[in-house]
Amino acid sequence: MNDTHLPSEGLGSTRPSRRTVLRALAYTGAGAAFGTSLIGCSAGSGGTGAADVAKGPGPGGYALDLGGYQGPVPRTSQMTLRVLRADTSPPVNDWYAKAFAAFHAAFPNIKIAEERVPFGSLQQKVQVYIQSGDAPDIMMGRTDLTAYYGAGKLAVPLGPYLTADFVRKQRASVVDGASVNGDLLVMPWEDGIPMVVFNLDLFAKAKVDPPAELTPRQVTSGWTVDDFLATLGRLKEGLARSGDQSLFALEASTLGNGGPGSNYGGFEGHFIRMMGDPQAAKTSDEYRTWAAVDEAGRKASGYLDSNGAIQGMRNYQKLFQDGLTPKGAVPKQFAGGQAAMGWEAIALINRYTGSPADKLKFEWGATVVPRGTTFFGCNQAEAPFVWTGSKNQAEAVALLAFLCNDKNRVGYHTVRGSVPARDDIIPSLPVYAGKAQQLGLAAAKHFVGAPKTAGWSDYSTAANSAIRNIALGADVATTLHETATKVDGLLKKYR
Amino acid sequence: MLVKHETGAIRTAVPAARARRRRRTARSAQSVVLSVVAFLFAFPILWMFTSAFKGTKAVVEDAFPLTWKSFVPAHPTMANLARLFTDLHFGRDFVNTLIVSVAQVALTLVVATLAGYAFGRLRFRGRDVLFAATLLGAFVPVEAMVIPMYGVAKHLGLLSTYPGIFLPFAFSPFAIYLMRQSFRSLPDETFEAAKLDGAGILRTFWHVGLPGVIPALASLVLIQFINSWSNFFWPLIAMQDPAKQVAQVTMAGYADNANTPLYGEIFAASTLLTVPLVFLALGLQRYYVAGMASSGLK
Repeated sequence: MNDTHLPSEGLGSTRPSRRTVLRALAYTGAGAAFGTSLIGCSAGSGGTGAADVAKGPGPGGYALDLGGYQGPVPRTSQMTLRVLRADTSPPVNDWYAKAFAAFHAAFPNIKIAEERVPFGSLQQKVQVYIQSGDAPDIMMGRTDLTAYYGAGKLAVPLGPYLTADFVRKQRASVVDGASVNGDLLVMPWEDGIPMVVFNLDLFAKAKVDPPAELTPRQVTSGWTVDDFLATLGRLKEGLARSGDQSLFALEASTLGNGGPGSNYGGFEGHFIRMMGDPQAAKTSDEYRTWAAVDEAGRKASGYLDSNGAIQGMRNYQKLFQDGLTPKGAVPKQFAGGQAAMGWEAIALINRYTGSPADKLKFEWGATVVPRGTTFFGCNQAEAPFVWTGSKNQAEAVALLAFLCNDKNRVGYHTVRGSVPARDDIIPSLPVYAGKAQQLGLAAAKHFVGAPKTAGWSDYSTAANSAIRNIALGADVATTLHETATKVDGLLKKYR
Repeated sequence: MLVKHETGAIRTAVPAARARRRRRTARSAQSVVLSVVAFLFAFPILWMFTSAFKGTKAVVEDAFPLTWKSFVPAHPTMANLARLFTDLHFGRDFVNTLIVSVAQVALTLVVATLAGYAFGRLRFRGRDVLFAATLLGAFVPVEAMVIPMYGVAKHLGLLSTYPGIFLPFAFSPFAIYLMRQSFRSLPDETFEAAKLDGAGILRTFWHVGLPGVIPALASLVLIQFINSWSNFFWPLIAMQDPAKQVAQVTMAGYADNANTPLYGEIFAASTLLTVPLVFLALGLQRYYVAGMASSGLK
C-alpha cells in the first residue's frame, strides 16, 4: 500500500487537491442531473428521469408485450401509478389484479395503486379528483364524455404513444367516439351495442308475429320505430287477451338504473336521435335533431326541442301512456319472462348464451334496434384516459396499452362479457359466433353515433329529468322547450 | 254512598263501565293504529332481512308481480352470506367501518364534552361569538366543503387513512351544542359548592359536570355512531385504499359484469350492517330520551 502511495505523493502537481475533488464531484453531479433531465424530457413525461431499462423480449423491445405502445421506454425511477375505476364482479377484479401484477413484475419500479368505487359514484369521484387537482394517473371514463375531457384539457392525447396499426385495428365508430378533432383522448376499450331481444313464447301467447329474422347483410332494412311501436301495441292487446295482466310488452329499461329518465345516453336518447340525420344540411331540422346542441356546443334551443326531437319523445311517451312498459324501475323483466321484448346491451345477451346460470327458460330471438330517419346506435362505453396532470404519462399509457394487448383483450372480454372495441379478436371469443351477436356486430358497422359536445354531462342530466317528466305525462313540446332553455344556461360556462 | 242509594249506584256504575269499555276500545284502536304504523316502518327492514336469504336471481324474478314469494324466500339460502365473507371481503370492510365509527364516537365525546362545558359553564371573552361560529359549521353541507376538505386531508397526509375518514367529523357543531345545553341544564348550586370547596375547572368538570350529563353522552354516542356508521360520501372520496374502505362504500359496488347490482349480497350486507345499530339503539334508548330532554332539544 505504501509503495503505491509514495510515487503519487512525490508528484505533487498531479495529486488532486481537496478543491479539485469537490469541483469534479460538482461537475459530475451537474452533468448527471443534466443528462437525467434530458432523458426525462425525451420521455415526454415529466418527473424525475432515470436510465432506460434494458431492451426486453416484448414487441418493440419493451420488457413486456405493450401491445400498440410506441412511446418512450418506461423509466426505472420509483413511481406509483394510480388507477381509478368502477368496481365490478370478482372475476373482472381478479383479471385487473393479475394484469397489474404482471406489469409490476416486468417493471418492478412501477407500483400500481388501484382504487375501486361503486359504478354509480365513479363520475362523481372523477369530478372531485379533477377539481381538487389531485387525480389518479388513469381514470375510467366514458366515450360520450370525450368532448368534455377535451374541452377541459383533462385527457392526454394518446395518438403519439400508439402505433397507427393499433389505432387502425379499433372499430371506427369507437375511435370516432374516443376522439376530439382527431386527437384520441380515451383508450378504445369496449363497445356498447344495443339490440332488441324478444320472447318467442310470449309472442306466441299473444298471437303476434315476431320480428322478421335478419341476416347480417340486412341489418339496415330492419324495422322502423313505427313498426316497433305497432308490434308493442299488438303485443299488449294479445297479452291482455291471454288473461295474464302481469305481463308487459316491453321491459323497463335495463340500460342504466332503470326507469324513465335514468339513461338518456344508452336508451332514451335513441328515440330523439333516430329522428335526426347528421348528413342533412346543418340548418335542417333533421341535423338539429341529431346534434341536440349547436355546432359550438353552446346552445340547445332549436336543437333539443326541434320538430324531430318532439316527435321522438312523443314516440317515447307512447310507451308509458299506452301501458307498453312500466313507469318505474323493474329489474330484469325480460329475463324473468315478464316482458315480451327488451332493449338490451349485447353484453347482457352474451350471458343468455354464454352463462349456464343465466340461460333463459324460454325460446327467444334478437334483432336490431328500430330505425327512424337514421339507424342510430350508441357510442357510449367505458373507456380509460390518462390525466393531463399525471407526472407519469408515458408509463400510464404503457400500462393501458399493455391491458389492450391481444392476450389481455381476449382475457378481459371473456370475463367481462362486453363487446371488444376491435373486430380482429372477435374470433377468439366463442360467444360472438352466436347468431344474435353476429347480427349486433354487423349492425354496429352501420350505426350512426351520437354527436360529441363539451356540455354533454350538463345536457344529459337536464335531458334525463325532462324525459322522466315526459314519461309520466308532461307535455312533450313544452317540456323540451323549457329544458332547451335551461340547457342554454348550463352551457354558458363553455362560451 | 253507593250502598245507601243502590239504584243510583247502579246508575253511576253503568256509565263507569261504559267509560271503561270506551277506554278499552280506544286503547285497542290506538294499539292497532300504532301496530300498523310500526309495521309500516319496520316493513322495509323486514323485507331486507328476508331478501338477504334469497339469491339475486330470485330477488329480481320474484319482485314483480308481487306475490308472497316477493317477500318470503321460497328457497332460503345462506349463499349470499357465505359469498360476503369469501369473494367480497365483507369481514375486512365491516371491521374498517367499526374502527372508523368507534374512533369517531370516542373523539367526538372528548371534543364535544370539553367544548360544551366551556361554552355552557365557563365565562370568557368572545364565548358567544365563538359558539355562534361553531354553529355555522352545522349549516354547510359536506358536499359543499368536499373539495377544500380533500385538499386539507391531502396536505395533512390523511388520505387513505382511518383518521382521514373520522377526524373531519370529530368536531361536530351539533354534538357541541347538545353538550352545551346539557351542561347548562345542571343546577348552578353544585358548581358553586365545588368552587367553594376549592375544586379547579378540570376537577369540577370531571366530578360535577360530567356525571350530570351521562344521558346526553349516551344520546351523543348513539347519534354519532349512526352518523359515522351510515357515512358514505366522505369515505368514498377520502379513502383510496380498497383494503381500508368501509363496508358502506364497498357494498354499493357489489355488481355483476353488466354492472347490475348483486341484490342478494347487498341485502345480506345491509342486514349485517344493521345489527350493531339495533343493539346500540336497544341498549341506549332509555338514555336517549332523557339526554335529549335534559338538553332542551326534545
